Amino acid sequence: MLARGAHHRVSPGKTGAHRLIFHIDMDAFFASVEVMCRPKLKGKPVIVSGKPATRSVVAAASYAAREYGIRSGMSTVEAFRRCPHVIAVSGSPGQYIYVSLELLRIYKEHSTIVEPYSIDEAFVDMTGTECTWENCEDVAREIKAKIRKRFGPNLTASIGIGPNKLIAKMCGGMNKPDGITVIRPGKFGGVFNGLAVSRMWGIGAKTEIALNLMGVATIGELANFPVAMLRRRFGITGEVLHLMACGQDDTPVTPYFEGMPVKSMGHEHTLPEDTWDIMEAEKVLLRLCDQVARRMRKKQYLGNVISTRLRFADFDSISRQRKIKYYTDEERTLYKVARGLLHQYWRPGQAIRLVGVNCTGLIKVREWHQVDLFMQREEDAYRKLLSAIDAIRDKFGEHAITRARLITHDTRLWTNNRRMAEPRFLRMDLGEGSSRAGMRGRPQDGPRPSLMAGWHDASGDIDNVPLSPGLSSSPFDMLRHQDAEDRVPPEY
Amino acid sequence: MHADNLYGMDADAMIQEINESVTVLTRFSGGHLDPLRFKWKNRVFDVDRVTGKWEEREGQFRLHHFAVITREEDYYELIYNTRTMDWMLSKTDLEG
Repeated sequence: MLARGAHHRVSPGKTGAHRLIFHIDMDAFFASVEVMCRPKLKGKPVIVSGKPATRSVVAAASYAAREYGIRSGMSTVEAFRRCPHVIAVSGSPGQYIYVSLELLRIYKEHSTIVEPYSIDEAFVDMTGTECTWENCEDVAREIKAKIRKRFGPNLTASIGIGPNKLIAKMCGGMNKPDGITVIRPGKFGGVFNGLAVSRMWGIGAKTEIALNLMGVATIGELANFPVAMLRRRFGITGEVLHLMACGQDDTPVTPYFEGMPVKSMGHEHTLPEDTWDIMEAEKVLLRLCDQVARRMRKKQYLGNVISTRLRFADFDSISRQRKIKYYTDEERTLYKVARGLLHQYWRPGQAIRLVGVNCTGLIKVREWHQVDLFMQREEDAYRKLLSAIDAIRDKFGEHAITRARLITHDTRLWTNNRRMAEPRFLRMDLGEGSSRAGMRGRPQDGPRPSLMAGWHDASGDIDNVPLSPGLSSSPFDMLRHQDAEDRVPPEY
Repeated sequence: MHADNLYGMDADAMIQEINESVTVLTRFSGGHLDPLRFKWKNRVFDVDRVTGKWEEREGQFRLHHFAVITREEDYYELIYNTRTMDWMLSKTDLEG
């Protein structure tokens, strides 16, 4: 119901009036970093996005670009329509992450309690430091000066200062770019009561419409609206909305080194073109499952609720989930469930625009979890295979090894009778009951290995994934070694 | 019309991918490295200032990226690969 940021924020009863919270938001961050590196871009309309021909969206727009009505989230094509001479920069995610981490270092010089809220935003709890309500603006100016000294004049920040995260976040957006806004305890209503409810952090379009239908248009009206009626309409969220409208929020700033408990891990991908081909969607899903499972193993998480997200060409989105009996961090399980959901809920005749997969119900590996005893023998062998793959990726990068099915986008190549075209492909076969994952060249005799992704499940039954009869069912039909051109940014 | 040329504009039209090995005079100091001068196509370019530096991981190795401005006020991106211990000129801005 509520938009990002509002879900776990308020617990009733506390006002947080004695705290002193900074919200530091970098202005047009990605675009500003590009201008920082290429000073000649300064003052020009710049967007960070993919190619106009793809269905990319604007990740960031410089303030010069915003004068043409270009906004983050807008399609790149629309951005070019509004400003034909806009400069579209493909962007460097690794660079943004690096700068973001450097910024956190600067914030930590002022307080040990720093919470990165996103790559370009952070909360800093100044409570108990030398920073007080009297000198907080000076401290904010000092932080901005450090950023300027470290990164130059093209990277600026807007800082909001309030008695809690909600107010700091909301006032931080009032004076952009390069501004400082302070709202002292008790002053929230005077500043925000007359503004539309959509200006409140966490209220999205749907909630705004629902509130408007109830006759609530402004934050002040929401604060004075009967809580019981809000509760009846929104459930527990109704009470949260009321407290937010009163400027109340006691959510702590969580130091980044303590980390936030991970509740879910997922990936989604907007297809370059809408597709009616479910196999194309399956392939994307397989890659996403591979990425999610890899992340889960790296972070040592297991999950047991798997969901598939689909967005159709008309932008209607659905998300369906299924709980499995045991915890897993394996892509074969994620894919099996996610693919089942895909087949169950896709709409034949309606093109798919976006595919996503998410795993929740996460627990740390060290915690107790139920394993499927009947799967154990196969499980051991498969785990060794995964360990080998993880080791290769750890050493040579994420793209050093991948599934054969993911190498090509040509679906015609997936047919069972297709010959393997490229001799550099290696095939990894995991013999049944074998405990060793070996690599060997492509077999010249006998049945050709399938390019269809498929594998046996633990019971020896072939799972939902179609397999060619008589062909190998190794989890990874083929492997590819890729040279050093593939690069991935470090984890944030 | 090529799809990239919608509205007559390439994405990041000013940037040209180079991806060529180059020789770089480098200062290693205090745990940092900084490119001072590089040679590309038999021309020597003096680095006036480093406007951006960042790292990316490639497995257990690192790629050190440097956005540099030369004395001629031209923009280049250099990459030092810790696996190959080699420098690469990644891209340049055709308009400087």
